[in-house]
Amino acid sequence: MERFNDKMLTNAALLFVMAIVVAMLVQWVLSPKYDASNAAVQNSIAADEVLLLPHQFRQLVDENRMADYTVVYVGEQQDVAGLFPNQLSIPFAELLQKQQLRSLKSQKNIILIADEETKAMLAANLLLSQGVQHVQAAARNLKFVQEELLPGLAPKMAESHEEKARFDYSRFFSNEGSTTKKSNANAALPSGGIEVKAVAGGC
Amino acid sequence: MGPLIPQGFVNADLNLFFAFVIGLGFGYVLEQGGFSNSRKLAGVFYGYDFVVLRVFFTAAITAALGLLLFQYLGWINHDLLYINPTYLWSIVVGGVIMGVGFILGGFCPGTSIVAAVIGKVDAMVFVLGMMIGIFIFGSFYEVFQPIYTGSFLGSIFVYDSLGLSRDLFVLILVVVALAAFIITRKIEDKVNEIKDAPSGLFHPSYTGPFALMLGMALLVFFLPQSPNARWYEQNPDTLLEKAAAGAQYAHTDEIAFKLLNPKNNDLLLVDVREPADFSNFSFPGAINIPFEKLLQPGFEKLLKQTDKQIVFYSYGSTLADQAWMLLSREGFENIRVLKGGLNGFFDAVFAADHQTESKNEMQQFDARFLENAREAFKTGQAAQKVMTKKSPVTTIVEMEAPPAGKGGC
Repeated sequence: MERFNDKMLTNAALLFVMAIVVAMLVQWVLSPKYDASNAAVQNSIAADEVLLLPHQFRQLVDENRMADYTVVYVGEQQDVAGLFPNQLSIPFAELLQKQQLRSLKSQKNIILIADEETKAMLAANLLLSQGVQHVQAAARNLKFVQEELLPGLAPKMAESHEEKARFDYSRFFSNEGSTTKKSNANAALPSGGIEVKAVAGGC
Repeated sequence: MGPLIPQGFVNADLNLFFAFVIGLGFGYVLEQGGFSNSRKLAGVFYGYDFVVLRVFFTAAITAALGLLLFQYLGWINHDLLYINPTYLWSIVVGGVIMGVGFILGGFCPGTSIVAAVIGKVDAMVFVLGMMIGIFIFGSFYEVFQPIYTGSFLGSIFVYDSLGLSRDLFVLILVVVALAAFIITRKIEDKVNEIKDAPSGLFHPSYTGPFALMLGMALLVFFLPQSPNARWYEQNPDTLLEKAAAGAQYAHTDEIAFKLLNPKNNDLLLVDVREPADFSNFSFPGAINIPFEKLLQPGFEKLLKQTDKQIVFYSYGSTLADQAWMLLSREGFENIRVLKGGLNGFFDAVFAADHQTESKNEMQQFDARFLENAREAFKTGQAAQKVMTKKSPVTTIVEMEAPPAGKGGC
């Protein structure tokens, strides 16, 4: 009887492990191809590692370090050659083509520039998720880089980027939130939120 | 019953039902394993029966391996697990009391209940003693409190204290457990003077379970902590295609119209800026989920539950576009981004000159609408029309651990 129980339990455990392995394989087959998790990409972006501010960009130019960087233009304009020592031009829509990815993965440091800051950041997000390392996106856009950054950056533009407030919003927009401090900034959703009462376990 | 209830797999109303079913199974297994027998339980201290050690070690490594594999598969969120905080003094004193009580009484708390239920008088007395002990502890809590809450170390992990990786620690734990199984069986055979004990390294019946445990431990060790991609995530090429087409954008006139006409407002505006910025100004009815918190289970679940179209906004489009990209990859379909963000919105509504010389009727209509919208927003009409009653939402990730978070057996 003991032997029978042993065998039965071993088979049950084996079946369980096999079920887990099968589930893993199925998930692996169904998963799209990413080389970095969504959370890892989010962390890089949230840590301000990706956006290259104008003064940081200018510093690279001033210190003659642009030779260590490959500037990749991911916009639609045709004539952007000759701005930087190492320069590539890849249309945004072709960014994830195999040969482009292979070429980008072989670069040491990448600075993405686009016609809009957000396009360069979206490109950076996609490239990071595909395992391309050391990717940064230039703040603002190609026009700004050409006309204001390269000729000599004005001090007031040093920290300039699209995510800066440009107005005193509450002055224009009469709104409950603009006149009173909210008690809980993160919280303002209809009822039905999740409430969990965690409990300690034991045996 | 975490984490199934917080994840929404199980209705919270079924909490007690599941507790009952698990309790039923636990009691059955303890009784069938001979754990209602105090002689068997105390055998671990005298060397003639190590089944207690083997059962609890098996439970520990099975739970550890299962937890890690389930986490890898995305079935369990490690962040939602409640980690018992460590109070050093209460562990030391409690451990000594438990050990002495186990040797003298022949039971631990759980097994004494099992034995009492099947009618064992010694177990009933043990349970009675336990109740009296609990009563005394509760009555004189102030006296015991310095020991009970002394040397608080927080929710610490052994592997962190040892400077090991989590997966290496589990592998070592499994190897130690298997070694303990082999050694204790040898001791048992010797103490019980079993003549026909197998001469090999371990009992033949252990071969299968040993191979499975070690195999699972190695699998956990070599797998990354979580896969780079989940099966439900959207294909990168699809994301690229959508981003290239700018399909995600909602424009100022739509947002302005819907803010001023709540009956037509099918949008949930989500502000992804920092809480301080949200406090200074936000659209009426908007909620704030800072970008770095977007993938936290509570917030993600919150967004999944809404039947409205989600529109992310920030000062520009950059951060909101990143939020869109993250959640699109997670498989969200009903999400958009306010093109140009707050800066673009204010440019269009307040800063732009709405006088147009165009003869195009649509352009004239747009200009008139934005002119009217400017006045409406200035006089607070949107705020009056949109329900802005605040009802704080506490998400699971922000919940604090319960104060009396001590468990044991």
